[in-house]
Amino acid sequence: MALLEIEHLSIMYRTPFGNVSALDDISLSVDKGESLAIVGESGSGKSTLALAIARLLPPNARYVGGSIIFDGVDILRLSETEFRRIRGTGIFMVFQEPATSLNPVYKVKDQLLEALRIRYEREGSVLDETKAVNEIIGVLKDVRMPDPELIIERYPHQLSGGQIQRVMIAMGLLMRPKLYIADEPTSALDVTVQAQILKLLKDLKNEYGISILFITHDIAVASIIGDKIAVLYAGHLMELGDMKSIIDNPRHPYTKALLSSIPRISKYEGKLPIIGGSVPNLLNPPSGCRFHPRCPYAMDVCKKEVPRLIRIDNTYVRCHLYGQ
Amino acid sequence: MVNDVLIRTENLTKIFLAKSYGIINRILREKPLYVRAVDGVTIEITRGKTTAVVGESGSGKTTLGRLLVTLEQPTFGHIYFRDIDITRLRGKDLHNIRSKLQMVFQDPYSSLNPVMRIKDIIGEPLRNRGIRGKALEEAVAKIMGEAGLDFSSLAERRPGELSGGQRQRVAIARALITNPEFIVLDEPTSALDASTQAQVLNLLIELQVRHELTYLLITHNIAVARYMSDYTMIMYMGKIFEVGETNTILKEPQHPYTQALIESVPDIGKTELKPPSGEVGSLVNPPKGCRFYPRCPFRMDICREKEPPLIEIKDGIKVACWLYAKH
Repeated sequence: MALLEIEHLSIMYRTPFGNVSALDDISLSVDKGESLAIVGESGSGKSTLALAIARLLPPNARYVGGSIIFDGVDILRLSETEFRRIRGTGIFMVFQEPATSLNPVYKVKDQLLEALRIRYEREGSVLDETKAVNEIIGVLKDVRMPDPELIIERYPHQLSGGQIQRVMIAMGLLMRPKLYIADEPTSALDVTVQAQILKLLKDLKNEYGISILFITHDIAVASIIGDKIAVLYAGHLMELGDMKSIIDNPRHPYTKALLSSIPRISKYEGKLPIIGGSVPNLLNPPSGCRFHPRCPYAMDVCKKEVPRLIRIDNTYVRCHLYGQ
Repeated sequence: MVNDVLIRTENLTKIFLAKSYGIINRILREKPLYVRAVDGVTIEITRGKTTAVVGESGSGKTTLGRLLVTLEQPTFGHIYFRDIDITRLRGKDLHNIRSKLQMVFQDPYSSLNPVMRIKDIIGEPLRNRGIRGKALEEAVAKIMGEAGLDFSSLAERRPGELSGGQRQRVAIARALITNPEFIVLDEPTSALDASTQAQVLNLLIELQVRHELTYLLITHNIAVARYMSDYTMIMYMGKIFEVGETNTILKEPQHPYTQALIESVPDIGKTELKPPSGEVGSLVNPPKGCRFYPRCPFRMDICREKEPPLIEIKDGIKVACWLYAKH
C-alpha cells in the first residue's frame, strides 16, 4: 500500500527575474517500508520536492497543481495547525547541513526530550523523565552512537558532523514517523562516516519498517540506499523504477549519461563520455523535453513537445524514444 | 628513476596552533595546543604523471598540497623541486619558482574574485610578472581557448555569470597561464555536478598531455583518483599510510585503512558497504602509536605503542602498518 502518493505535482518560485517552474508534473509513490532515492543535479528540483512534502517551502513558492496524499490524506488541503500534527510523528525530515540542524544553546538531551514529549502528547500519555532518558539512550545505542550517556550532556558544537547526523536520525526514531525524508544527509560527511550512516538507515528501515525518501546528487549513493530510484532533471521526472532496472537497464538518455559519466572504482571504462553543455537555467527552460539540448538522440519532436511519462515493464520513462 | 622525480620531500611537517595563543593565555600559563597537520611526510612525485592524494577531512591532504606550491611554510622538513630546496627560497627566487608551481582550488564559487572580469582573473599572474597590453590579451585568449572557454563571449563577463563548470575552467586557465610544470588540483570537481565533472576531468587529462604537466590530485573520491592518477598516496591524520601504483592499490589494498576506505565508497553495482567503526580522531591528541589504531580491526599491542614505519613491501608499494613490518 502506498504511504505517500504524489500526483501531477507542480511547484513554481516567484523571483524578481520571473517565475521559475521548479517542479513540473511529478508523480511518484512510496510504499510502506520502502526506500525511494531521488537523484538529481543542482536545479533538478530534488530539494524542492522534499520541502514540498514536508510543507516547508519558502514563502515565494507556490503549489501550482497536483496532490500529495500522505497516509490517505491530501496534505495540501490541510491547514497549518492540522498539518503540524503530522510533522515529526508522521513525516520527519533530516537536512543536509548537520551543523545547523540542532539548536546550539540546548543540550542534546533536552532537544531529544522535546521530540519525545511531542510524541507522548500526541499519544495522550505523560512523559516520565527518567524513563524518557532511558528510551533516548536506547535509541542512541540503536544508531550506534558511542558513549550515549556522555553525548546527551553535550551541546551540538561539541559533536562531530557524523554524531549530529546520528542524533538527528535518533530524534526521528524517537518520533516514530511513518516517512523519513533525508535531504543529502551524508554529503557533508566523510566517506567512511557516510557509509556508516547509509548502512544505519538501511538497517533501521528493515528493523522499524519506516519508509525513506532519500534525496541525493550521487547515483552511486542512490543505488546503495534506494529500493526504487527516481531521476529528476530540471524539474521533470525523467525515469522512475526499481533500483536494479534503473542501474542495469537505464532507458532514459539522461539516466544513461549520468551512469556512464561518473568514474567508477570497480571497472576501467576508458575515457569518460561527456554530456555536453550544462544544467539549464529554469528561468528560461528549454522547450519540449528539458534535456533535448544535451541529448545525443534528440529528434525534432523533442524540441516541440514535452514527452509523457509512459510505463514500460515496471519503470516509468519520460522520453520520445519510447512509446507511440 | 631519479631523473623522473620532479618533486621530493624529506620529513615534511607542518604544525599549526590549534587555538590562537595570545598574551592572556600566556598570563594564565595555559599550554598552547598544536595540530600536526602534515607529519613527517617523505614522498616522491614523478614527472609528467598524476599522483593522487586520497584522504578524509583532517588527513592533511590539502595542507600537503599547499606546502608543495609554497603557499605554506613547513615547520620543518624540505621540499626539493628539480633538486632545488624551495623551502629556503625567499624574495625574487621564490617569486620566480612560484610560476612553475600552481594550484587549482576546490570551490570555484569562492576562489575567483567576483568583481573582476574573467580576462583579468586569468591574466593576473602574467600581469604580476610585467606582461601588459596586447601580449597579455593574446596569452589570455590562447589559454582560454585551450580551457574550452570562448574568449569573445566570456572575456568581459564576471564569475557570477558563469556556470560552475565554466568557473573551474577559468581557475584552470589561470593556473596554466604561467606555463607551470607542476599543478596541485585540490578537489577540482567536488563542487561540480556529475555531468560537468567528466568534462573537467577530461580537460585536465588533455592539458596534461599537451603541456607535459605533473599533477598532484587531492581528492576524497577514490573513483576520481582511479580515473585520473598513475600513483596514489593514502593519507590519514597527517601520515602517509600507503603509496604505490593506483591500480595495484585499488586491486590489492594492503593497509587496513585503505581496505576500509575502498569498502566504504558507494559504487554502482555494489550492494553493501562495509565501513570501519568510529571516526577520524582528534589531531590535537593523536594516538601515540598508529593513528588508525582505535578503528583498526587487525590492531595488535605494538600498534598502540609504536608508530609503524613506511616500508616497501613489494614492487613500488609502500605501507605503514605493523602487519607488514618487523616489530
